[in-house]
Amino acid sequence: MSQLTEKAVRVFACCGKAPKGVDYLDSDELARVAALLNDDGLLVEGGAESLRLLLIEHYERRKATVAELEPPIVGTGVDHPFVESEVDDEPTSIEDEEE
Amino acid sequence: MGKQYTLGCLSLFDGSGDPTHISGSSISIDSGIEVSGNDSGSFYEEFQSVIRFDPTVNVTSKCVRELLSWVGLNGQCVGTGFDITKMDVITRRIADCQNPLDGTPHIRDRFENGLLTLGSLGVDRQGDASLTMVLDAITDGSNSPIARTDGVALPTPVVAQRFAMGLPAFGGVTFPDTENWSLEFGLTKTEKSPGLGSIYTDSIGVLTVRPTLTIRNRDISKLTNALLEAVASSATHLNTKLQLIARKNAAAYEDFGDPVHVGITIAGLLTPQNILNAASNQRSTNELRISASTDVSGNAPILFDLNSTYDTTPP
Repeated sequence: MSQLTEKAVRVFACCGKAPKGVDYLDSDELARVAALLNDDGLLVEGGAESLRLLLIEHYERRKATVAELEPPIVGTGVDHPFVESEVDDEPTSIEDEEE
Repeated sequence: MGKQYTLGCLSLFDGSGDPTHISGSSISIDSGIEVSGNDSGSFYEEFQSVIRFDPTVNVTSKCVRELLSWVGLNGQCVGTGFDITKMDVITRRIADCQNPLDGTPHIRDRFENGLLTLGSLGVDRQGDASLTMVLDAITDGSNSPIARTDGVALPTPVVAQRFAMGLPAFGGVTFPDTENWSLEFGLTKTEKSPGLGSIYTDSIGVLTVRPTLTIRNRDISKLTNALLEAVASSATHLNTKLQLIARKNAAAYEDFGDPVHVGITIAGLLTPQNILNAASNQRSTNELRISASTDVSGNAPILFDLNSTYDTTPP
């Protein structure tokens, strides 16, 4: 485990979060999270709120990725036969009526 | 002869959909079904409707380190886009002499949405540490919170861990004569109610986290007159530590210097709860309690270090 990851895991613990979430941080997020740890192994001032804001961005990105991986499902209903509207059957002009 | 089953394992799926299979001591799935009648005043009930289906899964396991790597103090959401995407409970069919097993005779109960929260963590002096947790399953908006498949294979490998009590320190003082300790995580959650037009709970969240640690101790002299006069003492992450030592298969313990043990620090208020519990010809004990709280920097009241070495001189 790298030093950055160790620090990020500790920051997660300080914020009541399981370390598993650190696995999904990209390198930039990892560095930003690790920077929230003081030398005494506890959070810097405002660290909890900074992590909260960072994770909001993170999960929005993850959700967008999931949405890309799972394209919207279309055409799941029963195929209905095409039904011509009554309007189309009606004569379109006086001349048609006469015919 | 009918079919019979026993506990298989618990499977947690990570954000990439990869499962980890974890052994459990016991698992109970309660349906949370609520049925109500029409209050007609008749002698016999005339009308029964299911108004709620709200499954919860109660898990007890010795795999403390593994489970705490998935579920933090604040709980963990389960669902698409979260760090746990789903949870399975595997029930193993028992072979009997009349009905030989085929390849996939076991049962899987799958939960794709919900909230996992910690219940309690405790250990006795000679026993193994045990962790309880709860999954409150919810609907994805239309489907049942639980889906059962009869006919699955047993997953492998299954993580199995055991931890023994290590030397704890409370308020800067080591307590080598601790008999047992129990950490109640004390989470409260939002009231669960079905979505409109549905019998399934559609939402769940954590309201508060109020952990308390209870320590039963043999050395009653540790409760000093100074502490009794002061009534309480401060516990911080720097002076209060619990430790769990990883047991090793085919040996006693994992090497104390390996980062495979569990360290837990607590901040809060240390108070004597039971000053003396004594009976003739029996060992006396007393009981201390730490009501955990956050500190000025907003650190969680309980901090887990899951890659800890074992410290013989805590804190």
